[in-house]
Amino acid sequence: MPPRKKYPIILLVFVVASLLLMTYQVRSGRLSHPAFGLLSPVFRAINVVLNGIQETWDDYFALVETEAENRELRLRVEKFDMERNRFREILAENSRLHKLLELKGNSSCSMTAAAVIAGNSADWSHTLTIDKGLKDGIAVNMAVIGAHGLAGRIYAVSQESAKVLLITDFKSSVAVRFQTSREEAIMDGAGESCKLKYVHKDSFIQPGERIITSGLDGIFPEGIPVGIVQKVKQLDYGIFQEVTLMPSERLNSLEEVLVIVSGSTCIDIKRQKT
Amino acid sequence: MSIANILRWVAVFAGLLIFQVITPAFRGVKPDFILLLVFVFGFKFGETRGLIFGALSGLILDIYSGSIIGPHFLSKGVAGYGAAWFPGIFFRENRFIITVCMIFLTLLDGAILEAVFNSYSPLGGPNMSSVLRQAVIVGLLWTLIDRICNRELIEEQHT
Repeated sequence: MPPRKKYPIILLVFVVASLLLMTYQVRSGRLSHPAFGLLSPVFRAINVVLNGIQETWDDYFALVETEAENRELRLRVEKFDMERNRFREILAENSRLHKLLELKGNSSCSMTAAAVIAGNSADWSHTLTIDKGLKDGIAVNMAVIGAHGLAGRIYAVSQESAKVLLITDFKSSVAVRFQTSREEAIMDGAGESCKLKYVHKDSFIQPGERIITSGLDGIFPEGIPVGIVQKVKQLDYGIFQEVTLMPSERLNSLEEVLVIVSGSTCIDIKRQKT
Repeated sequence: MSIANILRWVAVFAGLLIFQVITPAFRGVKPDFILLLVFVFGFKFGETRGLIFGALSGLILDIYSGSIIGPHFLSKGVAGYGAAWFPGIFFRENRFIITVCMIFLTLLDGAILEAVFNSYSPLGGPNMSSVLRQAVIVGLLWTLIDRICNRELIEEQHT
């Protein structure tokens, strides 16, 4: 096959002609060619069609991007939701710990803070487990309090943890005193609430009266808020009246507690609460 | 070249022009489909026809842009000529060399546009960074075209 002819002179002429054409346009100040003016209606029509196609095209891409953006934003919202919940938990924990610290600071007793690590769901037993044990100086029969009052006492202890018998447990018994009348009584657990034993019929008890520990049982220091009288029932028989007590502490939702490791009175608590 | 053939190329040109206008830019660069078409035309039909086709394509682009007539007229004309001339001095069936030639011609097209616009237009021309990216895109697309219709391109040259 013979080699094809090449015409470099054509290229040269073309380049020179192009440059002359452009130079002429610039020199003459005609930066826009008259052909553009003549063809502008055609270009305008073409532009309308092209713009329509481009808008449709762009909208399609915008939709695709919007979907991806939507997915990403949903993920971010979920992440922020989780973070917000975490912050709420931290705030709530902070508030609880703050109350405990206040209690600890106002008390003359020596206390150790502990976190509740397990509860007991059985309705016949009201106990919980805390994360402090023998190695932290915890021993059996130490009093356990929450931010609002008495929670219970330690009934079993291991190296790393301890079990707390709540005051609402049927096996729990606490020596208590009416804060106003100073009358003594024994408080027994009754499931969700507590009952006061040996309250004489002649005693004038009203719902709302505060009950504190008397310290006479040798387990719970004196002056810890225990609860508020909820109901008083005069019995037809016997010499005592039936008093139902609502614990000061919300025992179902305890998350942090203080264990009183030494001290027989917490008189400052009593003062604070009165 | 028959009338039907000419009309076919005009239709392809119009279609690609529309496609180029509506194609969104990727990292600031749109594939120059018109330049690719000029390359294909020049490669198939030789220097003179390539130059004429390139110049006419450039002329339409210049008129469409509303600026001075010349920058695209010149750059696309040179590209059409070069698309036939460069493969002629190398072994045409060597795909790699041809692709390198097309990349070089894309750079040359960008360089001409930049030089002309900088000299004749107050707005200036494309920057070299976008010209380089354009060269890579055109190189890839040329490879694709070559893979798909290499036989047709080569056969056309011998007829």
